[in-house]
Order: sequence, then C-alpha cells, then structure tokens
Amino acid sequence: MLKSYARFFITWVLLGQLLGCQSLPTPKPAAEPTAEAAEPAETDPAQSLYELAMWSAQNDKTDEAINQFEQVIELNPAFDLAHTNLGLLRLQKGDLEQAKKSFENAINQDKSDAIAYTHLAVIQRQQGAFEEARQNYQKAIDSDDEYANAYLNYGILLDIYLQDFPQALRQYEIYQELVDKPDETVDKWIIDLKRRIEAQ
Amino acid sequence: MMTRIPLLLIIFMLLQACAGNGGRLGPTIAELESRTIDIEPQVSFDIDNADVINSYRQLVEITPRGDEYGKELQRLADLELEASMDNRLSEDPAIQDQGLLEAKIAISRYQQYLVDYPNRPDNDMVLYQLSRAYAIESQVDEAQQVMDQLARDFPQSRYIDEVQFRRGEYLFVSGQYVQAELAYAVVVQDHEDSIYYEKSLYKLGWSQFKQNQNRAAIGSYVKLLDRKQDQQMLDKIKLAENLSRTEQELVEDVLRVISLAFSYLPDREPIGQFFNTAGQRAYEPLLYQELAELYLSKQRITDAANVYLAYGERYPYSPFRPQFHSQVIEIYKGSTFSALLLPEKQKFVEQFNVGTSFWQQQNPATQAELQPILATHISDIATHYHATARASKKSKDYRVAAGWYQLYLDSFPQDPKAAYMNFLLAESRFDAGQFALAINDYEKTAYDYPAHKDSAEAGYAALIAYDRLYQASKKADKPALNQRLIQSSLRFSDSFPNDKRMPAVLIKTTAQFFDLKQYTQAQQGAERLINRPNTDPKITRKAWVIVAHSRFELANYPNAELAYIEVLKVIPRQDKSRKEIRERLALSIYRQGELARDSGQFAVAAEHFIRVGKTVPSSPKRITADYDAATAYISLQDWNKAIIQLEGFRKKYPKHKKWRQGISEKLALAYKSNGNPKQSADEVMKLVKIAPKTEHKLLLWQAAELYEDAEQPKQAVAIYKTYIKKYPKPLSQSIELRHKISLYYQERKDNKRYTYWLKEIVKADSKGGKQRTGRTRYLAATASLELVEPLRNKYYKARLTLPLKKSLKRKKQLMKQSLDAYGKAAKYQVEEVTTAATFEIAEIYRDFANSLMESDRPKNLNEEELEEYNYLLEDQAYPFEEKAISIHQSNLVRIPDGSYDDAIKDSLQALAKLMPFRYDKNEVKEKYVEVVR
Repeated sequence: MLKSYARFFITWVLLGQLLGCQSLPTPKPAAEPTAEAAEPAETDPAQSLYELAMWSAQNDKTDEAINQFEQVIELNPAFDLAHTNLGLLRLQKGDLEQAKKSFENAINQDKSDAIAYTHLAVIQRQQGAFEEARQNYQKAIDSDDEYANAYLNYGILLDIYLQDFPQALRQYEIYQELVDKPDETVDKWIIDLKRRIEAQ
Repeated sequence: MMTRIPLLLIIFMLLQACAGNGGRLGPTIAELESRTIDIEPQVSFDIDNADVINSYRQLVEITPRGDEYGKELQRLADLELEASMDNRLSEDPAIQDQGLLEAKIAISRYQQYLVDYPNRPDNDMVLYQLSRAYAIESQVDEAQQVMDQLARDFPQSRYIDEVQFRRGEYLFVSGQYVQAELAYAVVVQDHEDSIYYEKSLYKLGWSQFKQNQNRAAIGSYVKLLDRKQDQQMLDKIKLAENLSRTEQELVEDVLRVISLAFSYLPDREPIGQFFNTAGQRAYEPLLYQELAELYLSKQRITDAANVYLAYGERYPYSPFRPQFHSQVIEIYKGSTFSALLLPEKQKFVEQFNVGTSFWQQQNPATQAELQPILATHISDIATHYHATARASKKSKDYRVAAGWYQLYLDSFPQDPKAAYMNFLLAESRFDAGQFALAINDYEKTAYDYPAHKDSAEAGYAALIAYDRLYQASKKADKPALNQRLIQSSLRFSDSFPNDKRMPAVLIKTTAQFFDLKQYTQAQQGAERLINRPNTDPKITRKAWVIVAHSRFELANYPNAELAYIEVLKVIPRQDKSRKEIRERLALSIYRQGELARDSGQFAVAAEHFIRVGKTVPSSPKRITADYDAATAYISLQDWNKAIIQLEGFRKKYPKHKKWRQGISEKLALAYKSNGNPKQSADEVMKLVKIAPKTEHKLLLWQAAELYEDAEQPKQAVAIYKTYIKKYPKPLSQSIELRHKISLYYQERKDNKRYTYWLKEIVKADSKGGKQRTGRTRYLAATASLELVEPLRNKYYKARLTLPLKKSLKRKKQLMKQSLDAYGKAAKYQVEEVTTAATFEIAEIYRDFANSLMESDRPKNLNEEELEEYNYLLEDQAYPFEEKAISIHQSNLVRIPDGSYDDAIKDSLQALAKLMPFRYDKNEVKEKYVEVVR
C-alpha cells in the first residue's frame, strides 16, 4: 500500500508538469516519501493518469474521476478499462447515454469485457431495450462465466421483464453458486419463482 | 624680161584659180534668171582685176596671131567678163555702165575668137562664156542661141548639164514646154550626179504638168520624192524637220504640184492606182494628205473625205488610217455635210475601236494615240444620242445612248472620263426605265472609281433608282430589293458623310432597319447621325428615337434609358409622342430591374424598380415596378425593406384592389420571416377577407399557426374554432384542432372549457365513422382518459367516513363510475391509453383496499371489537388489493410483447410495493473496476 501511494505521488508530480492544470487531489494519509520515491517514473502518462482517476473514483470524487478518465482516453483511446470505469461513473451520475457510449467503447477495445456488457445491458433494460439487454447479458456470461453479477442482473431481466421464469430461475441459481455466500433475498426469489413455475 | 615675169605669174595664178573652181568663171545664168536655183558663189580674186585686164590687153596687142594669141584673147575675154559681172553688181550706175561696156568687149573678143578659131575642140567653153556675156548684156535670145549651138555641137561638153538646164529654164519661161522638157530630160537622163539633176527633174515635172502630161509629171515628181526620201528629207506623212528653207519649199512645191496632177487624173482613186503600177511608197500617206488638203482648199469636201477614206481602203491596217478618218470627221464638222459627221464617227468607232482586228494589229504607241480619239468619238456619239433621247423622251433612244456609254466604258475602263461616262450611262438607263441596270451603274459610278465630282450624285441617284425599281417590283421581290436599297443607302452614307443629303438617306435607312427588326444596324446608323455635326435637328431627333427604340429592342436597357432621356430633351413639350417616350423610359428602367432580378441581383433589381416611379412618376408601369421592388426585397430576404416598400405601396395605392392580395401575401411572408408572426398573421387574416374562398381554409390554418408562433394562442384558438366549424372534414384535422384547443384551455387551467373540448374530441371521433383513424382514436382515447381524471380525483377524495354506509356507497358509486370511464377509455384499444387505464383501474382498486383499511372506525367499539373489526376490514380489503395486483400484473404481461410505457413502469413500481419480494428487484452495479497489475 505504501508503495502504491509513493508511486501515485511521483506520478501526480509528473502529470502536474505534463498536464499543467490538474487540481491537486487530496491524498489519503500517506507515509512520508521514502527512498523509493526517487525511483524512475513510469513513462506512460495515460497509465499514470488512469491510476490517478482510479484514486479519485475510489475516493468518491466522481466528477474528477470522470474528467480524468476522459483525459486518459484522450491520451490513449485504446485504454479499455478507462472506458469501462468511465461508463460506471457516468452510470452512477445517471448519464445513461454517455455511460452507454463508454461501455460500447470499452467493448470495442475488449470484446471480453463482461462488466461492460453487463452494465450496458442494465442501461438497455432501463431504456426498455430488453432484447438487446438480454444479448449483452449473454455476452457478458460468455466472456466471463464466473462474473456473478451478470447472472443476477440477467435473472432480473428474465424474471420481471421478459418473464421467462425458468431461465430467470437458472440465472439466480448460478449466481448463488458463484457468490461466496448465497444471498438470502435471492433464495426467496428462487423459491417464489419455482412456485410460480409450478403454478403455470 | 623682168616686166613679163610678174604678168605671167598673174596669168598662171588665174589659171590655177579657174582650175580650182572646176574651170568655172563668174556667176551662172541661173543667178541672173532664176531665184529658185542656188548657184555657188564665185571665187573672188585678191588681185585687182583692172590691172590684170590691162596686162592681158597689152599682152594681146603685142602677141602675134597664132595659137598663143587665141589663148591670151580667151583669157582676156574671160577677165573682162568677170569684171563686167562685178561691175554690173555695183550700185553705182557709172560702174554698171562700165560693166555693160566690158561685157560688150568680152562678147566681141569671144566672137572674134570663134571666128579666128572655129574648130577648136574646147570651143564649148568659149560658147559657154559667150552665152554668159550675152546674159549679162540681157541679150537673152543671143545667149540662148549660143547655148543651143553648144548643145548641138558639144553634147558631151562638160557644161552640157548646166547648159541644158539653162536652156530648159529659158524654154520653160518662154512657154516652150516641149523643148524645155527635152532640155530637162537630158540632164535627168544623163546627169544624175549633176547639181542640176534635181532641179531639172523638178522642172521636168513642171514642164510635163504644163503640157497636161499629169501621169508623166507625177512620175517625175515621184522620182524626185523617192530621191528626197533616200536623203531622209521625207517621213511617211511629213517632211523632215531639219530641212533648209529652200529644200522645204522645193518639196512642198513638188507635193503641191503632184497633188494637182493627181487631182487632174480622172481615176476614182488616182494615188492608189498610180502606186499600184509604180509600186508602193512609204510616203503615200503624205500624198493622200496633200491631195485631200488640196481638195479641201478648194472646198471639195466630199473629194477630200474620199481621198482620206481611200487611203484606209488601200491600207486597212495602216496606223494613219484612223488619223485620216479623223480628218474626214473634221472636214464634215461645221460643213454642209455635218449630217455625215455622226455616221462617220460611228464608222470610225466600228472600224478602230478596242477589240477590232484593226486595234489588235496596232502597236501600243498607235493604240495610245488612238485611244483618246476613239474616246472622244464614242463620247460624242453617246452624247448625241443622249441629247436625242432627252428630246424624244423615248426609252429606246435612251437605250441607244446607253449602248454607246457602255461601249465607252468597255473600251476604256481606265479612262479619266470613265466615271463621268458611267454616270451618264446610269442616267440613260434610268431614263430608259432600266432601273436595275441604272442602279448597278449608279453604284459603280459612285463607289468603283476614285472620288469624282459626280460620285455623291450617282450614289444618291442609285437610291432614287432603287425607289423606282421597288415601286415597279413584284411583292415577292420587294424584301430582297429593300435589303439592297438599305445596303446602298449605308454605302452612300459611309462614302459621302458630308453630303447634305446623307442625313435624310441614313435616317430613312435606319428606320427601315428598325422596321425589319435589324436593331443593331438601326442603332448604329442612327448613332452616326447623332454624332454628325450640323445635322438637321429634326433628323437628329428621329435618330435619337430610333437609337432609343433599337437599344430597347436589343435589351440594352441602360443605354435605352439614356437615349430616351435624350429624346425627351429634344422633343418639344407639346409633342404628343412624349407620353409614349416617357413610358418607354419607364419600361427601360423596369426591364433593367427584370434582368437584374432574373440574374439573381435582387438588390440591383429593387433599385431599378424603385427608380421607375422616381423617374417617370406618371408611368402606369410604376405600380408594377413598386410591387416588383418589394418582391425583389423579399427575394433578397431584406425583410425590413420589403415591409417598408409593401406598406408604402398599400398607402400609395389604396384603391388598387388588384394588388391587395399580393401585398398581404408578401407582407405576411416578410413579417413572418422578419420575426413578426403576429403582423404576419394579421396580414393572413386580411387575406382571408379578400382571397377566394378556396384559399380560406389554408389561410386560416396559416394564420392560426402564426398566432401560435407569436404566442397569441387566443387568436389561434379563435381561428381553430372557426376552422372546425367551416371545415369539419377531414376528421383527423378537425379533431387535431380540438386537441389543440383543449391543450390551450388545459394550459390556462380553464377546466371547464378543457373538459368541453375533450368531450368534443371524443364526440367527434365517435361520430367519425369511416373517417376515424388511429390518430383520432388516440386523441379520443387520451381525451377519454383525461375526462375520467376529475371523476377519479373525486373518487380518491371520497373518504370512508362515518356513517360508513353512506360514504361507502358514495365511494363505491364513484369507483364504479371511474372504472366504467377507464373501461371505456381502454376500449379504444390505444395501448398507451389502455395501459394507463389499466394502471388507474388497478390503483382505484388498491385505493379502495387502502380506504377500507383507513376508514373511520365505529366509535363505540371496544378493543376486542375493534381488532375484530380490523380483521374484518382486512378481509374486506384483501380482494381489492389482490385485484389491484392482478390488474397491475396485466400491465406487466405486456412487457415481453414490447410494451414498456410509463403506465407499465408505474404498475411495476406499484407492484414493487405491493409484492416487494417479487417485484422490488434491482440490478447490481459495480462502482468501479480495478485490476491489479
């Protein structure tokens, strides 16, 4: 952790010179710079800026993080994780259309970005594009069959909106299998679904 | 001895002197008798003759008779004769007498000698001297006798040529022509080298002539002339120029006499006949000429003419022939034979003119000499016939004259007078009525020769000929002829710009160009007149008019405008044409506007259109121009100027109904485009009043829209209401307007009217029959839905209060009404309305369940009863809640089919509360993603 902060600090100084106008983040309490701080800096400014953006996101500085991820992408448009995180932050801000674009950009950079597929599907569900959402959930699962949230969200889509209860049930069940500790609420959903299936 | 030596010496000297002179002593007989014959001057002696004579006399006295004595005697006689001749020439009578005496002495000495020495062979010399002495003594007969003796006894004498000549002279003078002829003939026949030869020949001819032996005389003279020709004293037709006076007189006399001789011959053509025999002579022309002149001197006109003409017949290709023919003409001129003059000139021309065989055989020098003569004759003939024609005024006579003029031109096209002759030819053609030919010749005269005094006259005459030909032409030929006339007129104008007739010609031509719609030419011609100084103002004025009109027709409107302005300057105030010109001026400006407009230059176009009214305020075109100016501003999208122009137009022409509609239309557009929809709408409403009824519908619609844009909904709604009344069909539009009206009242929270118009929508749709559309149904459905809202609100407000029976009844009643109303709305099968109605129905049921649970409890219940009552209520409420869930779920069922509207979302939210374990499910979202590298 200490090493991480030291790297961040050096990166920040370098980026300050590079970008000129960056506001100084308030770092979490950090140790005094050590001899390690004198190590040569990373040469990829996009990566460095990305790390700065991540720091902002982790510290709920959503607007700054969005701005920084946008700069990362400007420096390196192929930076897939920057797109994904920018999408997540925009989704938090309720900016669905911009978030959607970010996820699409992320997918363009990385066709196996299960998180991007999943959240793109969430947005599409909100916008009533249920079939597109279904396809993206499926792509998320195909890309990363251990990404539990994809199953859970897919299950909700199938359950409430597409009303394909057996499939919804299956997704909930996989979710429960993937998570370390099965969710009690989801267990209730499974019970209710099974009952409704039986009643059909 | 000493005294004799000088004397002998003197004698010797004398002898020598005589020998040096050919043995001749003293002057000849001719010196004494004939002035026509030159005798060489005798040698003069430096020694005093008297001394010599005295010396010889002494010598003769002392010399004994014998041969020597004879010689001395002869010498003495010769000296005395010589002295005698000298003294005779003196002016002193005494000396002259002395001379006579000396002559007598010489005669006696010669006679003595002849007596003493009668048979000496050289007595011819003594006889010769004796004859001279007699001559000095004027003893002519004695002298003649001595010469006769000499001729008879000494025919071979060295003095025989002179002696015979002297004899001939004596005989001729004495009228003894036969003997004279014989004497002369001796010299002519035997002494061709004698100095007396030509003289003898000359006198031989005379002697023969005197005897009427004309042919012989001619023969003699021809012989003499042949000799003179050999001596180069004769040319073919004249004498050499370097002749001495004597020679000249001789030859001239010969010619005179030979002519006389010829004239006496009975032959028709004596000269020709003579030389046919004698052989041709180069100087024959001279003889013909002399003979003719001889006749002429005797007023024998015909004979003289015939001689000249005879030469021509004898020598048809002689270069002298035309000259002689000309002489004939000269002879006839002014004579009693003047009637022959013209025919003779014609013959002359026919025989010698250019192109004849005669002409072709002549050398250039002769041709050059002949040309002016021919030209003169042809000219004379032509003039004669022209005069004749002018007197008779007959076409055929003019044609004859024209023929001669034509001949002149054909023969001498380069002649200095050719231009003038051509002009006369053209005149003849014209007077002969040959206008087409006359035109050609007038034009040729005017334009094909270097400038001459008749150039302009001919050029103008050509135009007159055109005019005459035009009048006589067939209709079909007139256009082409007119074109030629125009070209000729232009040529006249170009060639004679300073001619006083030029302006009149050119203005007429330009007018013709204009009539033929050849506006460029018309303009050019008229402009020349305008720029021409000292032109008649009337013509200048016409020229300006043509220039202006031509420019106008050529669409050169800017310059047409300038020209019309100029025309107005020169046209008198009272001239009736001013009005038309002013209108043309206005139109020129207007056309500039049109052109600018058509090329997209609307600003320029507008300026021009406005200028029309400023320049010609009274122009009828002004209204159109003002209107078009506004239109141009509109095209330019200069809305402010367009509005000013249009409003101005309306004020300026308030009574012109024709423009009202257009003005309002344009103002409506301008105002609208200028961001003034209210004014635009007002204009549209004005249009409604004046436009045809067929347009009202659209106009009302536009006005309403404009009022809406102007945020004047009240006016818009008013129009819509009118529209709905006037145009209930098509239903869709009518219902749409009702919808708009309803929205208006909804916005103004005028629920009463809002509800009214919602009902209107529903009512209209319900009566729409086949006109109903999806949209009408939609609007009717949504209206129906809206119409339920007050009722529904009333239902929601209705609480279940005590007495419960009453309030329950009312709420149920309201519930039923609301459910029915939503049921009706749902029946439109408009999904949006159906889901909304479904949601509302479900919520009504849920409300009823809630209302039951929240209803007032009877006040008199104890705790247990109250609990029981609550259970009872729950039991009562539960079915309604179940009903609500079921109905909301019916909305959710639509999702897999693609429906996901607000009502469905609302139903889902409602269900999330009613059945959270089933419906309150939310996706999990990552906050961020971090990948540890």
